[in-house]
Amino acid sequence: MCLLLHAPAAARAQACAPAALHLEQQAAYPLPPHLGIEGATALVDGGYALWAADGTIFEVDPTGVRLERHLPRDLRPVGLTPVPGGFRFLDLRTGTEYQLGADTLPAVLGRVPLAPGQELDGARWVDDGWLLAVRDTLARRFLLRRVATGGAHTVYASSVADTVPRIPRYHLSPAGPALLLTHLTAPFEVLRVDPRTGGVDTLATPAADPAVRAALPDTLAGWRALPAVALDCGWLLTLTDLTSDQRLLLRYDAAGALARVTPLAVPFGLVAGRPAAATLLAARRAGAMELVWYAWRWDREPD
Amino acid sequence: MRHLRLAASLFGLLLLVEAAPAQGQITASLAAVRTTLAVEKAGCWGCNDRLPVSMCMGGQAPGYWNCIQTLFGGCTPSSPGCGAGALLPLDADGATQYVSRGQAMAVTTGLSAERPEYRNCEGILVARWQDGTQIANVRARTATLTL
Repeated sequence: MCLLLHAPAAARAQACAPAALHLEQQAAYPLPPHLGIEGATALVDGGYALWAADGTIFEVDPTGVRLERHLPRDLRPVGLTPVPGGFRFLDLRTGTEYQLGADTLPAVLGRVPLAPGQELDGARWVDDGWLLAVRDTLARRFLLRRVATGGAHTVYASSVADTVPRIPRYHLSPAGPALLLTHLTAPFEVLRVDPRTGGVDTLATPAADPAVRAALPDTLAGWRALPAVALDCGWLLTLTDLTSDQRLLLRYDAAGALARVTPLAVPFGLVAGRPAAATLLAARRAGAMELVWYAWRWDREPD
Repeated sequence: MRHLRLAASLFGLLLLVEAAPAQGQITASLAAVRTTLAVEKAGCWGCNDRLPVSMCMGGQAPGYWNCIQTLFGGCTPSSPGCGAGALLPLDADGATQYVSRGQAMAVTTGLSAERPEYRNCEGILVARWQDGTQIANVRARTATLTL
């Protein structure tokens, strides 16, 4: 049995060294047409809340879409968390925080502070506060900001980019009590941030790994990373070519070493995971976009 | 004279619409886009300011920003897009989110076996049509995975 993700890295590395991860489809169904997924968050009952680029929020479980809410046209969630009876979400454009009840219109709760030139890229609710992925277009830096009742502060700041379009952008995804930051573009590095201490470490730089480079073309201009998905023992990363169906599925072990590179010529990506339940949520383009629910198990190397 | 005043008012209204900051912030690159008249180029999206009301339209360049059409606010640039060589928001299947962002423009209409895909001016696959064999192949290849 692997140790949990938040165990010390050295201990994890010694304790879990599986040979392969097997994913087996448990359920699949199409999403409504034209629905793009911008983010996902796990719900306590085993389902997920997803939010879409057009302002739709929906809840899914292995049986299908069980709830679909359409926000007013000028609202688009950049982050969302379940609350009793509904959701709390942040609006991408304004940073305004809303609460959405089961049968109510969004009610304003407040607004996260954004300085002039700061744009929201993502948000995660962690420990009673928001962690914000912010592009500071004046300082030309990416910032990870924490906003909670005690105030706001910067947890992590990237180095200064040459130009505004080169400000790095990161996906935010949960990994136990930590947060994984996945750089959308090459070299697709994955950082782990401890929101409590502000500690940041680079888990991996995939494009710098010879095994990954060998599976990638010379130019990576059209390649993007999806959010890293935590397992109980390491994590998975999907690299995707926007000009084709080429995908690379990367598995890293708990020590941050690349365990396997799996090329796949299918429009497919990993969305989120629930390590404690050994399940994953993925999406694929099969006519419509389909959500795919996987159960996973480890294959151990014989002692 | 009355027509002149009407034209001036309309121009002022357009300026107001165009001066409205997108996403609450103004960046240099964004401002540059807003002052550039869109010209047609296959696959790009942009605010077309030549119409009486600014419209988010496909087939526009420079298209450095994708856009959203709002009912009263006209065209609002949204994310960096075609032409920026940049950071298209990804969908969960690894595609871009052009389709959902631009569904009002019906980007997927017209896709068929004869025209199975829609690419932007950077060659990025925006929308596609798959036949039964392709759909079955996607499902078969992802039913189980070993990573």
